[in-house]
Amino acid sequence: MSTAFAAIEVRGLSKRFGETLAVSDLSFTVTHGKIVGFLGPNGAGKTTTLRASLGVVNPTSGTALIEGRPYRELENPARVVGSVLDGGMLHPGRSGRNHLRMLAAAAGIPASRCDEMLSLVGLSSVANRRAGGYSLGMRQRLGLAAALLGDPGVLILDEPANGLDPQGIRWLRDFLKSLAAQGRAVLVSSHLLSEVSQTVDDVVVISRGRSIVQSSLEDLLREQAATGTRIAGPDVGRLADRLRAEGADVKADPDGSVVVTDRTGEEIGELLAEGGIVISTLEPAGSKSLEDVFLSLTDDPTGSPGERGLGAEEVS
Amino acid sequence: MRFSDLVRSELVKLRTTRTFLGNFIAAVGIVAIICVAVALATSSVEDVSADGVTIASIAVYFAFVIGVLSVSSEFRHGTITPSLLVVPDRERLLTAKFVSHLLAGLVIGAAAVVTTYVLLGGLVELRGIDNGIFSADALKYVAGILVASALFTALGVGLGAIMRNQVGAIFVGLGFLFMVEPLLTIIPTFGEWVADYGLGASSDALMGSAFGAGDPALNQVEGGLVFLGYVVIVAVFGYAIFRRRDVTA
Repeated sequence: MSTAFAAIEVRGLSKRFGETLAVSDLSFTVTHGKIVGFLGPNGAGKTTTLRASLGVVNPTSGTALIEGRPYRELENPARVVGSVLDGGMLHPGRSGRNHLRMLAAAAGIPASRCDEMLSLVGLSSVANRRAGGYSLGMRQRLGLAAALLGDPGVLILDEPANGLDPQGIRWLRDFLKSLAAQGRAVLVSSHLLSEVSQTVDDVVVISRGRSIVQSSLEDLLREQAATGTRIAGPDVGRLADRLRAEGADVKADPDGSVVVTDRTGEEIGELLAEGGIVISTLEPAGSKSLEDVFLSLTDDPTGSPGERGLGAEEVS
Repeated sequence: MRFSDLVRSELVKLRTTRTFLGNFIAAVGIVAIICVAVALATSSVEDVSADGVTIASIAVYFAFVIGVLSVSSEFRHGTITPSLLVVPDRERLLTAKFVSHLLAGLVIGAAAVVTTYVLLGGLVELRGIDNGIFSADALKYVAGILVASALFTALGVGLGAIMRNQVGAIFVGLGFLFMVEPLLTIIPTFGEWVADYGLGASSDALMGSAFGAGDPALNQVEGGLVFLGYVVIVAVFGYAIFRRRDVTA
């Protein structure tokens, strides 16, 4: 199902709602066969980006192409892209089966396909119940069933793990992996890295509508792990001065600790002993958890990846 | 994507909630109650004239509500998002709503007319009173009500596309028809124009409605054309607004 085009290509996308710039000059690409995590805190602009890519929100500038064409110009989009956007999006008085049927009818998809999808997501037993009584997890599953109606090569999912219990999250993870293994491109947004860290191949991290990091998850972790030794404690300022005097590469972190990238632990220990310097922490800087990485990336008000030494492709 | 599939999808939407059925039952029910009341109240010396059929015309306001809900209900429950994901061409989606709901409006109007013939016709016949609704004269009222049901539904679809809020759109539509327009008629000169050619005047002329008083300025066909004009104006605004709207529901 791959084509000459990238599955999703967002180029210089901006969206302004009144005074608020929700998305600012955002660019990224999703290729077939990959699961890309679209990460950022709540309010970072993820949903707006996805909605603009799907033609329900009009971009202020820039473009989003799906298989090389804007969404609104796709011949029969349900057969190209499946998407689940956040929210209820169900009429409470309509059954899950009928919800799928009304969508399938428009796309020229036979009603039998609706029942197949209901069984795929495990909703067959409640398919004829009014959707008003569905749990959040059931709504998410129904959304996935709707997204898959047209057997699309691209999937765009906005916070699909919301409302799922731990078993549901595991089910979703395996489900997404099987979809990507079939060659589909999957773009999945989340405000929680832990939800997707076992699933995604690449990450796009945004904050305040801007791209902060785009890289493979592996690179992100490796770059973090290779950043030397972190030192903290009462005399850390004196140590930093001595290290700098020796020409070492010392970076101060906002939390008061320093990171030294070109000295071994032993060399630092010698300096400590010589100077009678008291510290409380000496640890590999890479021991920051993935969650810490994510938080420090998205909390940084300047949003500059360069200072973090992540080496990720920056999109300006 | 075939346009007929889009219309079919809209008809599935109509069939699969209780909204349409509820409005249908309410319309037929009210027509039935009025028919029984009129049939019982008619004294034996009076005849029921051909315009007795216009009892059915009350159904057109339920047809209007069904039209409004076609768009606004989708915004209310957020189904507009999956609908647009499947049919991103908004002009086509809205056109499919117009076509399917014209049909729905016709169904409500026809049901109201049938109810009138069965109940008013039946009861009056039982009492042995001359009944004008079976005369050929009554056919123009039947035609007027059917056309008006379809047009009122279309008016609703257009208004729903302009105003997402369903309660607001219904209130604005019916409020304008029954409160604002009658008030406007008080204004000198302009008021006379409203009373002759306004939304209410033109639709009443189309239906030959018994509720319209006095000698109408418009005949039935003229009334129908003027009312169609209003529907088209609202629809044009509906397309323009619906086409560009950011859907964040």
